[in-house]
Amino acid sequence: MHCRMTLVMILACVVLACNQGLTPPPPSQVLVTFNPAPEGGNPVGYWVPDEMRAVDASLVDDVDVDTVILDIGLDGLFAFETVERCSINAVMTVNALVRLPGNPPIELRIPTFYDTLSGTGFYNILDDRVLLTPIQSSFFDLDTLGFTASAGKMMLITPAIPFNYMDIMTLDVALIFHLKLEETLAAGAAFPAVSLQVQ
Amino acid sequence: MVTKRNQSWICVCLVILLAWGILQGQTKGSLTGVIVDEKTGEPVQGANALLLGTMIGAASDEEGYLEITNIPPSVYTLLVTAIGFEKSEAVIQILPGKTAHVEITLSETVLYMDGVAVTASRYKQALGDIPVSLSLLPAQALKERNITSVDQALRYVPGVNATDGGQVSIRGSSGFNWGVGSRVLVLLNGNPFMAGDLWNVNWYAIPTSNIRQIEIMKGSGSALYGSSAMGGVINIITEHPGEGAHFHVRSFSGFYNEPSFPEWRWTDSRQHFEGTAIDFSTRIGPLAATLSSNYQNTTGYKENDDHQVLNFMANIAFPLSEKLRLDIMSGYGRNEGGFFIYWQNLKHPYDNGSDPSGYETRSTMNNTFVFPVLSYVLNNQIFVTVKGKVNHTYTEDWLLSGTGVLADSAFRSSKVRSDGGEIQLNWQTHARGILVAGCDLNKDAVESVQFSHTRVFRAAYYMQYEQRFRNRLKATLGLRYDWEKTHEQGANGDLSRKLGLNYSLSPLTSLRFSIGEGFRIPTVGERFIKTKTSGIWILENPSLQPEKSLSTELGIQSQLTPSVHFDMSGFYTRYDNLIEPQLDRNAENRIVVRFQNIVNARIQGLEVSLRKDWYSKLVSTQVGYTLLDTKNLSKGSMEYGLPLKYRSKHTLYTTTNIYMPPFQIGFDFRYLSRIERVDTYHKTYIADIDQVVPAYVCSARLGVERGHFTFRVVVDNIFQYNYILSPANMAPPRTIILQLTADY
Repeated sequence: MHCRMTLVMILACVVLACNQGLTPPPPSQVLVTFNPAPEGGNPVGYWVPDEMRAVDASLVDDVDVDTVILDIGLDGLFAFETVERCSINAVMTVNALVRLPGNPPIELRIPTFYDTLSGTGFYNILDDRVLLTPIQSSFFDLDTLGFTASAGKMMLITPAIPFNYMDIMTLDVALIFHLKLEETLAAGAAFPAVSLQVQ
Repeated sequence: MVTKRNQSWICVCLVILLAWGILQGQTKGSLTGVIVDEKTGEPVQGANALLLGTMIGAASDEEGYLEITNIPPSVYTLLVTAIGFEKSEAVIQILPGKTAHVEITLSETVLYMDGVAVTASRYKQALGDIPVSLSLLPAQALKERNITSVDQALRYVPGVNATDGGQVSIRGSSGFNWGVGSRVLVLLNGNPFMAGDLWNVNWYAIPTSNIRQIEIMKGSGSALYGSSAMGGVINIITEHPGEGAHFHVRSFSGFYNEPSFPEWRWTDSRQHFEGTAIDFSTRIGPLAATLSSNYQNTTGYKENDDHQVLNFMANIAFPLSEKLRLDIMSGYGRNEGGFFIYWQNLKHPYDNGSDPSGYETRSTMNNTFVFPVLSYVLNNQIFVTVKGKVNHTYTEDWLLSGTGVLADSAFRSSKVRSDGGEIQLNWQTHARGILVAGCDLNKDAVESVQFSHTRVFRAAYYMQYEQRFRNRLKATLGLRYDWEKTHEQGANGDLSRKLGLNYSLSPLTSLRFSIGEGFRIPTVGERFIKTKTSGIWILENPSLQPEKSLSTELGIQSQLTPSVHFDMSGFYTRYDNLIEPQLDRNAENRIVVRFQNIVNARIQGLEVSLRKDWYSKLVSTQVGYTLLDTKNLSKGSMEYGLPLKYRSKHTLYTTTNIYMPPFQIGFDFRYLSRIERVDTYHKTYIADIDQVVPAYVCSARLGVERGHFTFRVVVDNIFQYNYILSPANMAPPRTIILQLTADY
């Protein structure tokens, strides 16, 4: 009886010793591609979302769905200083709807979720077109962004981001943040929002 | 709300009970006894003798002699307990005008003492007499594991979960709320020890070296203790002064292993900790005093997680006369260090993610308290205690840049003055009936950057009556009315009721049943907070309503054989109006967070604990298993029917102690199943918070005792298992501790 118990305990110890629990996530893709291609420019300034067009989203690959509607709102401030310090505080509101093929089509609506883009610290510019930032986000990897800045407007372009639909499917989506140099902010203004329909 | 009709009903009950007690008055008898060590024949000093089912008891003197007078005639079971000895029971008959005599021999044991507890009814009771589940954690368990903060010790109690931030949950009463609004009430020698702003516990202010035992009462205790006891009550009992001159020093040092993966390393230096605890007891004439002081310094094992903790506690007992005694417990604690709240992400789990990149939040916490208690023993049946309470806390956070420059001073600070008092009457109304009644008053004055300036006044009246029927059945009925007034919300009140039954199937087996209401008043922090964190404003909600609960439990405990003790209970709790942080919009349509009453839920489950002794009690194994089945019952919510967040469905604890003089060896194993759900609100700003795994944690300890000295080696998390203690917060890697203690 005691021998069996000792054996069980030894086996349990071996199993436990082999189990490491949490492990680091696999390393992210080294080569980053942006679509559209960033053109660079001067990112220095205090940027706010462009009311007319805050965020675009595009599907990176062809997928077997009828319709994907991403309704994304953005509110906040993106500040890039000359000494390569930056401060980002923004909230993104995402409403998503997916229609799968069928008769009738199956409609999946994802509950509204919110993502906070935040970060304070130093940024670096690579190859005159890519920003390495301290931006943290819960859903998206935003530490590497392509940018195109000119005439008081700036686009921040993400590489392909896996976007998870209720654990049913994952689509690669590229987000493009449309910003403008801060001029005046209307108090109480609703979130600027855009809708993109892919069919 | 309590109507005048209900208040009148309470008064009528009290009058009836008092009258009944007076009618039961009879000529009394006495008891004398001698308690000796079975092995050596030497007298045992400081043994506790208690007549079961009564408040009547005494402690043995230096000669092992005890005397109890004025005992109502009846047949009693005398329970004798002493540290280091097995409990012993004897049946005695007390006759009018006669003195009964007993001789009790106690046999030594290395096991944790079964003992007595005061929490369930505010007087000493044997565990088998209590109608709710109650676990005891003795001082020895703290010393052997080198516990430096009480919340760490609670991780070894079945049904209890303690997160990294010091938040304690009993049977899933809380998920994870950053320590705000505890649903477990923590008492220090019976005095509420909660901070008045967030209603959390300043564990750092309690020296662990002076603790005699920790009592953990599971299930609602609101009918006796009021707000926050809806999930249970933890009562930390310190050594009582006057139990002999004593000098104890414990010194320890240790280090943390490097993280498991090279990419997780965040520093090149070896992270370590060290500390010293000193306890000194003495007697000067009639005055007895115990002084304790603990100091601990740690670099932490995470970025910005270093701490320096210092605390003092003095317990003074001064008998003013034969019947009147003054006890004063006072203390001071300070905790200064970094403020790591959550990780950066799973790529960098030991890096601080809760502060802006390049900055770190530093924090200082101070807690000063004085609890004077005046006890008046009218006779063996009645005693009155008058308690005072002064508990002041001050916390301050400031932001430092990476170069050590102050970026924002005291951006969060809170000064809380909690003052109050309590009067309690314990009355043995007759041989089989005990009445405990009292009232307490409390005022919390909060001056805070983030919680504004607020004053909260509280008053409560409580009564609990216990009646024993034919020595087999004991019924407990409790009522408590709590009243609260704030400037912003006016006055409101809550009534909590409780019924408990305890039935002895045999001298070794008892059944218990209890049903009780619980509630928790929203904290000042939840109601009046106004602060910004991670770019999101958290705003006030003064209209928050109290949370409510109804708990039931059915349990059995049995000494199956002389070496096997078994305890099992099934429990069900219904919660209404639970408060949780929720995303909301402010007047300008911006996204903010507010605490709201939104969740109705039920938690049901099963708890089993088993203790088995082997090889003439040289080896002891304890196993505790808890099954939690939780369900959100908020109608109309998208979460309806889903399990509650941040709860593990299965928890398992095992402890084995081996005693081979002069060696003491111990093994601990803890298992917590993977938490089933995390909060989407947290997911919006904490990366990888949903990365969770089950916890399998093994620890071992080896002690060698030589004369006055004991040397111990403790290894925690032997297999370097990577798991989280609270969301986005990695638990310590393998930790090696060396400890040396000296006792005189």
